[in-house]
Amino acid sequence: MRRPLLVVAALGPLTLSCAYINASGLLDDATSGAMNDLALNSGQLVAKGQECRRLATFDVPLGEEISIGGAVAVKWVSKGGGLVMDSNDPAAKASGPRDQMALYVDRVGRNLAMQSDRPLIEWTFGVLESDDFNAVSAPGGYVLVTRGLLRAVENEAQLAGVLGHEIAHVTEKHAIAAYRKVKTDTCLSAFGGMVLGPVTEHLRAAFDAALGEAGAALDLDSRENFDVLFAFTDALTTALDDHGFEVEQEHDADRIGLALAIGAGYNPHEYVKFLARIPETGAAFPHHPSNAERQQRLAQFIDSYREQPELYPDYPFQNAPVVPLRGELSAAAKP
Amino acid sequence: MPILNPHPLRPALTLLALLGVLWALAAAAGARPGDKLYVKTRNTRVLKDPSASAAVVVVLQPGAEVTWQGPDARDRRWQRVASGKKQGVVMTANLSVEKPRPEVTAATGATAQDTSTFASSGAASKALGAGAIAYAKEQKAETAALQLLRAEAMARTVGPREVSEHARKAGLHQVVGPSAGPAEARR
Repeated sequence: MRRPLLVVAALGPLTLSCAYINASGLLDDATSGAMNDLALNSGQLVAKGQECRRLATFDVPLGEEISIGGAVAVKWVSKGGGLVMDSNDPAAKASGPRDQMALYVDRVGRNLAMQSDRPLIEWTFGVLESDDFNAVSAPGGYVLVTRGLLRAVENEAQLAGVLGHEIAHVTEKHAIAAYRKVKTDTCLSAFGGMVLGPVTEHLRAAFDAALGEAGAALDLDSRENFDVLFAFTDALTTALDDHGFEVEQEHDADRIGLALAIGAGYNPHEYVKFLARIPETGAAFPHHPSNAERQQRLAQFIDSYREQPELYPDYPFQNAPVVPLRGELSAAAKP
Repeated sequence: MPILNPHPLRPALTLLALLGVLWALAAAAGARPGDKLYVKTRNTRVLKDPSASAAVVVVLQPGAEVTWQGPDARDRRWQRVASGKKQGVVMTANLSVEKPRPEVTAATGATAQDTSTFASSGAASKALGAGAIAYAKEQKAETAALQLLRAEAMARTVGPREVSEHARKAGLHQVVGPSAGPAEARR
């Protein structure tokens, strides 16, 4: 599959210059000729640019969310060294201790997810082989934690806080917000002349078709759109790797995730305590707010529950269960 | 507000938090007995009495509207609700002041207006799609795709029944009922 070649990204997303640039004279005559064929006049570009910006305002249908989410999950699993499981055969039934560990995380996570704002989508939880201290999510309901993080978890209440945080990123569609920007930018680039070759024609055709419909959805699972999916996935995972989510989105995920844990009956103070264990140097959560700031915000959030004692007589939740970790997680400690 | 639903005042709350005013004003905007509330969790069991082992009056699904009658006098962690002519108690975490946001199910931006529409639309089904599998091949990450397919298959064995049982054993609130029907739930 031929990939889009982004030649001059600096001119791509937000400028609508129709000038093609032959980067350092590296393009042959045939390629340059093809580029000329793709050129649109400035009036058409302005019109297309306005249309592209509409993409940022449309809801992404669940089917498209699952398509991009699946590809993003593939990227995260690949980067994370694979999933902890006893077999790679999709048809094999759960058997050994590694499967049991994955199922345990699944039970804890799905209990929270079924109480979330998106209780009906199919959630998938998994454990990454990586020894790094990290947790990630992908649109459509994928939540993955590393074995390195699980080793630091002391009880189920802390695990629930971590999973709740990632669930919240999915329910609040934080990655989908970034995806809509990727779509818009790619559309602008395609019509702005910064993408070369047959993929450009296809991108334009795909966006033309999408913009012609009310919802501007793209069928990313159709074979003819695989190149579009690949380009979106690379751009989205790069954006999330490089910039993460916005700071307020992280605080939102903390708060909503902790609300899920409280609703399920866990002791919320355990997650606040756990935050202090996150390494503040290195690769773990480089874009998150500081541990101290997160702890302070969550302490205030827990305090807010006292405002309605008729609904939460258990406040301040000091006696809520922390729940010892089940034996299934012991596999996390093994190399 | 953090109580029945953490979302309805989020933009305002972000501002309030920035101003250091915190949650007090949001809490003051909380629901009052007699208000319409919405079920937010899977298999919400309306029970006859405030006990996880009490008889099931009816099982409701996300989006169902109930009339909140206030906390139960015997155990204020439970809320008295009426669903049509049926009355009973649910856990606080089962309720939301805001109607759940429907999923966008179609390219036209159409949404599933209720749970049964969503469930029967097939839109809820998730499996690694052809595009993601092709992406895995392109990235030489076929094993990752196989593992995700297996993780999804394993996840489908963890349904409300398993989740509810996990909560019971852990001493947590059984917010998610084991099944979609009261007769089955009593088994």
